[in-house]
This record gives sequence, structure tokens and C-alpha cells, in this order.
Amino acid sequence: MPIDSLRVDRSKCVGFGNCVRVAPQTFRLDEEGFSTVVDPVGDSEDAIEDAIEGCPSSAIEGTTP
Amino acid sequence: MIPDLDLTSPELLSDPYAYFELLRQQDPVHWSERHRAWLVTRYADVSVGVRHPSLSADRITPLVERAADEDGSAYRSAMQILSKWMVFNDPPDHRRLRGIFHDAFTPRVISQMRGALTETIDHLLEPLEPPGTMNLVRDFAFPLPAMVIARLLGVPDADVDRFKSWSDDIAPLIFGALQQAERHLLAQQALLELADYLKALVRRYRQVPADNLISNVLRAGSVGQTVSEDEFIGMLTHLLFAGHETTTNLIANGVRHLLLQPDEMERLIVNPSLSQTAPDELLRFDGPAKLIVRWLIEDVDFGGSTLSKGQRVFLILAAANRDPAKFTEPDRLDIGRSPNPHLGLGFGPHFCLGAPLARLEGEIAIPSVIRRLPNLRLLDRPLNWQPQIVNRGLKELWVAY
Repeated sequence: MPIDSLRVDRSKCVGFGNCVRVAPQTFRLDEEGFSTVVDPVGDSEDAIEDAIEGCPSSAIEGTTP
Repeated sequence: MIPDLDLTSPELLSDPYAYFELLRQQDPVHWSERHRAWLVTRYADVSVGVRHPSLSADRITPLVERAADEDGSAYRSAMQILSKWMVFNDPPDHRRLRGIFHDAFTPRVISQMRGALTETIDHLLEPLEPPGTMNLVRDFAFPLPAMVIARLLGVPDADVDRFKSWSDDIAPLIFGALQQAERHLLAQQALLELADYLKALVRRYRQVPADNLISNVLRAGSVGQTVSEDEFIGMLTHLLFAGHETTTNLIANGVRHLLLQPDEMERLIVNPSLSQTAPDELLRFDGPAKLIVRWLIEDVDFGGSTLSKGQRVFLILAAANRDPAKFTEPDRLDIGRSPNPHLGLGFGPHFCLGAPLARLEGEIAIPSVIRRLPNLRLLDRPLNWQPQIVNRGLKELWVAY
């Protein structure tokens, strides 16, 4: 089951890129250096959960089932 | 039976990786009687441990409370400054403190320093006329980050040497606080002097703002609102200190490994785009921080063991970063490795605030040294490692060029 309504809050994102490292198929840094969701089911649920909890600025929102 | 080795013995300072591998394979959450700490070595456990609510980063509050019984000592004042360091705070205070740097210390802001950084590197490398020898730590890897963090914060160039020596003096207090709260009078004094110096600097930039981090944070208006002036000063002492030694070790350890593995060095010279992935691989392979210390604030089942309230945990980043369950060929240096979810800069709320700066310094400084000095090679002298559990740093690195 995918993680519900996965999104990155751009006002909180500073662009450290941790999410891109742990879930590279799900997140990408855009031209301005902010993280964005490219595929909400791109990686395993565990990896996406790591990305959510691993974000230093708590910028990733999503409800884990 | 796993031997209870001393992480500060000459053998393990020189090469801790074989022991970390043994622990990871045989007892990944291992109680060390010698260090009075749980040694956690698997990637999966370390990456959970760094963000686990039962594992507290606050090692200072008990020391502050103990020091409260003592008369106005330098020790108490020094501990009060340390209690403001982000690295010693848990959420939600940690988030409140760190929040003031949200806009001032981001990858985008840091990337604007590229030009100034290149100039500083040129300035340090310019005087080197081959052939010659140098101590790469003293002559390049140490002064560079010191000058960069000073300039970023707004410390005048003329004062850089002063706070270099403060930073050196403070080190035993920080690492002492991690180990047994020893009192180092000199270190306490240095920390108080540094705080006084920064107080004056903040006053100055409050009156006459300039283009630097202190001015930018003041301009944003959080100081005096969400954080107190004392908290701000405390965090600035932290930034100055943190900006020094870790980056020094990234550069020195990094250049050393490239010299030990000429194929990887050649790849970097031939393919300049690898300078973007190389710093992260060097952080993974042999980074500046071996481990992170946490305290248990409650009993918890962790990685198959029961850990008790009050016990100490060493989350061993250097072991996690070589875990074959996470990395293919973990013991091989591959400067093109991507993605590279290493834990060398931490993970979660405490993830290194200075990561963008460390990466940028590594990205420019390491290739600069090896390109500018084509005959660079290691001199055959015994290596002398800093006798520290947390940091992995060489006292000297002698090279010929």
C-alpha cells in the first residue's frame, strides 16, 4: 500500500537532499534545488518512511499506513 | 566471544574497521563494559537510532545541574554555553534553535561562496613551489575551513588566528564532555573568551549589518524572539567549532585515500564531474566522525537487545557506512558511487547543518590539491591519529609535491 498524499513542503525544504539519497526513485531535486516528488511509489515503503523521518527540516508530508 | 577492545588504542585509532566488521557480524548491538556503552554497528539500526525518541542527544543538562552547586565557576558558565549547542539538544528545543539558520545556511546560500572558496584555496596553494614537502593538515586542510567559516560568519580576517587557537583549546572540553566530563580549565576559559568575542561581534553587526551569516540571521528577526541572545551566542560558538576540525579531517583523510588508491585519483583527474560525488564517498569510506553518542531516556528494545534507561549508546556511523546489507562492495572506495545514502553526516533532525559547506569545500579543495600538485605523494612517516573516540583525524599528514 502506498504512503498517502506524499508531498514536500517547499517552504520548509532547504535542499539537503537526504530524501534523494535514501529514496532516489521517489524524490528529485528540481532546478532550484528543492525536493519534489516524482513518483510516490518509486521506492519501498521503508525507504520512503526513512526519507520522511530523515528529513532534517521535516519538510516531507505523508501518512504511513 | 567478542573482545572488548579500547577504541582509543593505537591499533583501533589506526584502523577501526576490522573490529567494527566483527561487531556488525557477530553482535550488532554489543555492550562494551570498557566504554560503558552499547556499540551499534548495522546500517539499519544506526539509521533508526539517530532519530529514535528514546535516544537523547542531551548529555549536557545533567552536567549543568551538577555544576549548579558550585560557585560561579568557569565550569558552570562553560556548561551553560554548551547546553545551547544544537548537537546537545532534543526536539522540540532542537528544532526551535536550529530554525534560525533555516534561511541563512542552505545549499543555495552556501553555493554562492564558490568563488570566495576558490580564491582562498588558491591563496593557500599559490606559495607551494615544487619540489617540496609539507604537513597537509597544518598547511592546507586546517587553515582552509577555519578561514571559510570565519568569513561566512563575519569574523574579520585579522582575527582568524585568534579563534583558531580558541577552537583548538576548546576541543578537549567537548570531547571530554563526551567521555568523562573532565575539567579543562584552559578549554573553559577559551570557550568563555570566544563567547565574549562573539557577543561583541553580534553587537557590532546589530548596529551596522554587513553581508554575513550573523547579520542575515539578525535581520530575519528570530534572535530575541524565538531564541534568546545567549542561545544565539552559544550556537555561534558551536558553528565556529564544528566548522573546523570535521572539514579538516574530510580533506586530509580524503586526499590520503586518493593517494593510496591512484586509480581513483586518476578517475577524478580525468573526469572532473566526479568531484561532486567524491566528497560523499570519502565521507562514507573514512569520514571525520566515527560515531554519535546518545543517552537512553527510557528502556527500549533495540536491534534485538534490551537497552536500559541511563545507559549510553554509540551509534557507529563508520560501521554502518561499511555495511554490505546497504552498500555493494562496501570496503571499496568508488568516488562515483551514486546514490550514496551514507550516514557520515548523520541523518534525521541532527543531520549536519554544515553539510552543504562541507560538501562544497570537499568538492573544490580535494581536486584542487591533486591537480595543482601533480607529483603529490605520501611521505613514508608513521601516522599519528587524534586519540579520540568520536573523531577520526590525523595530527599530521606529510606529503611531498
